Order: sequence, then C-alpha cells, then structure tokens
Amino acid sequence: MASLPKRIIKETERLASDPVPGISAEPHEDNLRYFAVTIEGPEESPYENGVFELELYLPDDYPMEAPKVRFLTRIYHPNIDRLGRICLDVLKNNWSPALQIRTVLLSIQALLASPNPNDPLANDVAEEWIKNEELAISKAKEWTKLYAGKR
Amino acid sequence: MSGVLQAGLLKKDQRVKDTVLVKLLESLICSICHDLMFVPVMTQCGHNYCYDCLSSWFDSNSNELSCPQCRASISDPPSLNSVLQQWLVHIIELVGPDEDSEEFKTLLSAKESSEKSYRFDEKNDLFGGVFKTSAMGVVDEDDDGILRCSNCHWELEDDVGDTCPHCNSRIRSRMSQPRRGGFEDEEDEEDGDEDSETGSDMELEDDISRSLVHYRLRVRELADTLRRDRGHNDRQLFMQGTTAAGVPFYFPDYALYLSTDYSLSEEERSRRLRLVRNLESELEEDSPNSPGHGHTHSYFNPRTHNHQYEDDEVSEDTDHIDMDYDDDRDDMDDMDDDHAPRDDPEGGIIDLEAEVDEDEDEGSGRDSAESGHDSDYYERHDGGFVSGDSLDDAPVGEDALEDEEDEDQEDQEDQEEDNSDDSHDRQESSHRRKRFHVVLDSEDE
Repeated sequence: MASLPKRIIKETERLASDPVPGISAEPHEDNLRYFAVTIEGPEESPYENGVFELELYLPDDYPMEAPKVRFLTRIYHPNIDRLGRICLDVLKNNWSPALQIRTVLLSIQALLASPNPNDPLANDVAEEWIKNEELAISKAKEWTKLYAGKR
Repeated sequence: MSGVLQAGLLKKDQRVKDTVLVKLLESLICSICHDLMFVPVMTQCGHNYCYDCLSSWFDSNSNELSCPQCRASISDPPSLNSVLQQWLVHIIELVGPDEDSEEFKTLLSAKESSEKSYRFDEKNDLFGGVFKTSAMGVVDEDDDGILRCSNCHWELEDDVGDTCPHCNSRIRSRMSQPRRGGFEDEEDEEDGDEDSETGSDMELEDDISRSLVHYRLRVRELADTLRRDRGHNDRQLFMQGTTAAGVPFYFPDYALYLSTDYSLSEEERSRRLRLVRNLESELEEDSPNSPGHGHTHSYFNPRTHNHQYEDDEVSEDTDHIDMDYDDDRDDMDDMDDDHAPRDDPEGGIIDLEAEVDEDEDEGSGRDSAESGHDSDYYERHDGGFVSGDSLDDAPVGEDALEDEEDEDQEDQEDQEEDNSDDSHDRQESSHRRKRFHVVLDSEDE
C-alpha cells in the first residue's frame, strides 16, 4: 500500500488527542485506513444509552472520495438498513474534501437524533415509522437495549 | 486605523499574542490536505486551498466544480492568493536561519515542488484545463427547451457522455440545473433532501419546473427511440394506459407521472399534484382562447411557471417578456391540442407526428418574420451567437429530430414547403397566429 497521506496521520492523531464527545475512532493496527468506531446514541433519542459499533474505511482516493462507513451493531432506523449501510448525503453526492472523519461521524450521530423516514434506506422500517411513529420509536428503543447495551 | 489595532495588540499579554499567531498560521492551512498552502489559490467564493489539492478535487469531481468548504459552484478559475503566499514566505524567512532540522528541509522542498508544479501548469493549462474546455448544459425554456452546450449551443442528448459531441467541451452540471448560475444552484443542492420535503411552495414550484424539463427530455427520447427502432415513417403512437380507478391516461401527462412517483411520501405527492393542478388552472384563466381540453393533460402547462421564474431572474430579458410569454403559450396550446384525446382520430391515442408537424408550422411563421435572432437565449451568450443556419448542418438522418426540436431555427426553404403542406393546421390555430403576429410587429419597431 502507498504511504499514508499526512492528512490521515493528522486526523488520526487529533481524534486521539481531542476526541469528539460520545464518539471514538481508532485505526486498526494492520491497516491504518481502517477504523473501529463507536458512537453513543444521542440523548433524548430512541438510541439513548446505546453504544453503536461501526467500521470506517478510508479509500485510496480519500479525501477526494468519501470514507466508507457501516454500522456493525444492529439498529432500528429508517435510514440505516439491515446490513448497516447508511443513507447520508455527505457519504455520497455531497461529500467534500473539506469534511473529515470527525465531521462524518458527527453527521451520523445527528442522523440518529433525527431519523428521516421520507428518504428511507430500510423501507420496512420507514413505512412503520410513518404509519405509527410511537410504535417505531419503542421498537428502536427495544433494539438499542437488545443490541447496543453498554458493555 | 491599523495603528490603533497594532498598539492595542502590543499591549496585550503574551497569551493573546500567541493566540493571534496560531490563528494566523491556521489561516495558512489548506482544508483539503490539512497542511501549509505554499501555493494558495482562492475560489470566487473566497475560500483558499493549495493549488494541487483544489486541482485534484476538480479532477475527481469534474462534473460539478464546487467549493469544498461552501459547495458554491465554481465557474471561474480560482486565482493565486499572493497575500497568503507572501505571509508564508515571510514566516519561513524569519524562522529559516535558526532551523536546520530534517523537518524544515522537508518543508522547504515541499514548498519548492508545489511552486514548480504551479509554474509548470501556469505555462500550460491551470487546473488541468477544466476551465478552458468545459461548458455547462443549458436549457432555454423561452426558445426550444432543449438541453444545449453553453459553448457551441449543440444539442446534448441524454446518451452522450460528459463531453459535447460538437466542440468536445466537457459538460459540467449536466442535466442537474437548467440555466441557473452560481450560488443559487448550490443552495438548492445543499437544501436538497430536506427541502424537497419541507420547502416552501415557491421552492417546490421551481423543483417541479425543473423536473418537467427532465421529463420532457425523457419523453422526447422515448419518442425518438420508437421512431428509430421501429423504422416507421408513418404516424407513431404514444402510450396509453388506464389508472387503477379505470380512468384512461396518456403518457405525456406530468401530473400523472408525478402521482406515480412512489419515491415520494403520499403527503408530498398530493402536495406536488396540487401545485401542478394550480399551475394548470392559472394557465386556463390566463388564456381564454385556449381550447377546453381535459385537466389530465398538464404535460406542457407548468411551462408558464418556468417563464415567470426565469423572467424574474434574468433582468435583461425584460424587453422580451411579453413576446416570449405569448408566443410560448401559443406553442403550448398547440401541443395541448395534440394531447387532447378528443381531438384525435385514433380514439384518444396520442399522436406524436402530429405534434411534429405542428411544430414545424409554428417555427416557420416565427422565423420568417424574425430573421433568426428572436431568442434571448442567443443574446445572453455573448460571443457564442449561433444563427439558425448552423443548426441545419446536422446530418440528414437527424432531420426529423431537428425539425421537431429546433422549432425556432428552421431554414427558410423548409418553411415555405411546410406552409403549403400544413394549411389545414394553420387555419385551426389562426386566432393564435394573429395574436402572434401582432406581437411580432411591436418587436420590429
């Protein structure tokens, strides 16, 4: 693999020295482009008190190309599908090289705080979310307890 | 004034001075590579990046050149920010004599190579030539509504790649924004997902008008494919179907198309439908002369809205508004005639050829009187004036297509032929034509 760009080294250092509250991201020993990420569910959201594990990979073209991010912990959310893929504009068309790992993870945390069932990735979840929001929220809470309990 | 600031700052304690220094150094950091900008270039929106970084961002995202920090679309080549460059040079010169570490040597060689690469590109093509050889796809609703290359005005079909088949310019912002400039595009895009659901009705109307342009292009493409693939020269039929409730529909119907767009929520669908219907009824009131056809045929109607919004934006059009508006409405009436099932001898199936004939007819009337410079489209693009004749150089096989779509740029000869052929159609729409001529007269004065 080509040598690690300076920007990635800087970002990694800053994530360790000045972490974002509720978010952690650590590079894998063997592959410094691969990060193990945890995000705490935002307060007053159905995901409160949950700790979600994600994986983040920086492609060779990063920062010209967006990082690839996926949930490893199961989550009941209209914009996150069963495989953990995330429907978020900044990870796709709206990526910009001025964004970075920390801003992407903050955006994902914000997505947990405000699900958008009108732009769904998990159609069944979005449908339930629109039909009966209360039920969907209680289900999201249940899943959070079940899969994202603090260790 | 600067004296006050300088004296004030010098009085402050060291901590404040250090903060200022750190801030100053931060302003020399590129937000793409997170390192010093040895060759800072500034975009038209005022953001600075290393020349190399911005260049590779443009390279990897060349369809839509945008500022990484604010996403504003970038149409002009960013220019060297020599103030920032000088600051960095000063700092390096001050620090230099006391530094002989490896790191500092690396810094100096990085500076050297950045400057070298910029000087090299400066002599050749800055930014890989993206600003030299690129154009925008533009649609002029007042003219023919066809997506064209802003450089040579060649028609851009859906299936061509990122380059204009005529002048080889790379097409930026293809399809995504018919004729709107700079920041507004970007704001629209940024608002994107959220606003399409919650935006104001004004924004939604813009959105619908734009969707309509795409839709029209797609319908035309479908018609062309049908014609080409089946090799028919005779009348070509359009699609017909039935809704769940048993109401027959005809494919070029925008409202219906919208109502079956299941990527939208139900609420959003009905909201958009309501808007389309409103635009429709506005048109009905506006043109008492228009034939009383069914409400389902809204395919062309939202174009009225397009005019309003374009007229608002492009102030130099003011002189032409009345003319364009009227003459386009004629156009729409004609179109709608075609799509109204009760007018059709084939039992309510849309007939595409009829539409084509009508267009040729229309084009002839217009061109003979206006000697080819009627369209404000051409006036807006200085230096790129294209006369109707150049468009007639198209290969013979595409004649039918050109006829249909370049209604405004017909050759004089063709028109005279058409005039005699279509005398029947002519009578049918004579009342509209009269109005049209009146408008032309005033234009001539």
